[in-house]
Amino acid sequence: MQCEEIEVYLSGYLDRELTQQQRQAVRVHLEGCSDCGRTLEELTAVKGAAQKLHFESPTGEEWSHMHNYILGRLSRRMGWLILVVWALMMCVYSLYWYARTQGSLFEKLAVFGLIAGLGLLFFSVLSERIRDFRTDRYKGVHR
Amino acid sequence: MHRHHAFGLAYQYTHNKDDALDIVQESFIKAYQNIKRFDLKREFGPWLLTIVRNQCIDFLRRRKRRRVEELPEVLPDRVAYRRTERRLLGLDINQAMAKLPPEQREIIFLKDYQGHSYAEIAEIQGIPLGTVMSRLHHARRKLAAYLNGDQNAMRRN
Repeated sequence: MQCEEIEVYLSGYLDRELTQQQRQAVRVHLEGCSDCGRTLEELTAVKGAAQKLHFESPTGEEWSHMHNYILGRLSRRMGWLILVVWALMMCVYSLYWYARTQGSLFEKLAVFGLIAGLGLLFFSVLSERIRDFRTDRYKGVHR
Repeated sequence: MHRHHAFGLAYQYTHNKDDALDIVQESFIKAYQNIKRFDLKREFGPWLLTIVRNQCIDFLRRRKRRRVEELPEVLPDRVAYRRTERRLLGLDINQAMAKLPPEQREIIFLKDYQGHSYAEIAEIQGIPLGTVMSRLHHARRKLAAYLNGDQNAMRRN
């Protein structure tokens, strides 16, 4: 194999990610090619240097703050969900009991119509707001 | 363990501790919200890092006017890089890494710093195994050339 073909395998050779056959081909080539040997030496040095990368790490307090925030966000979401389900159930239950009470048909239709109208209005505004929020390209931009 | 890996990857993109923490935070929330999509037969780490990576890309898009490659918050860590025939050169691996394009910086970080396998990197970056090897190789060659004193190495593709 030529140097150009071998070169791309050198990183794989260094990381022990080649097949047995590829590994053997690289080894044979390296025995007779000092240029590729030097390249492998460079790659080894870069790998060693990258293992010594240094960057700031968060403190224990910062990690703890982050965990609390995540827990808060997730439990708030769950809380909203429970509240909405509870409110819907209460509405259905109240309407059921109202329908069973004594009263004129006209009065009942008027109340149901009002509630249905308000409900539809509320859900259409809510769904529009949610759609706008999801498709807002600038929602992450700090003003 | 996972949080440190997630933070390390986010830091490679942001070079800022607070931004990296924000990304990790959002990534964990996204992971919890999408936990149903996680395949239990697979490792959690690479799946989480895929989410972190996507968050990082979103972050860079939002801040595309900012030049992340040249942010000053890079800690000094002088590494003696030796070539057999040449004299010792004291060069900063962090500064050199910061000059690499994000995808190359990320692949070196995932492989050499965090020790992921090619298969895991392929999963995280969503690329074929062969591309992992060639991308990693080009990134290392570029870094080697730069550490070896070639200031124009980072400008080449």
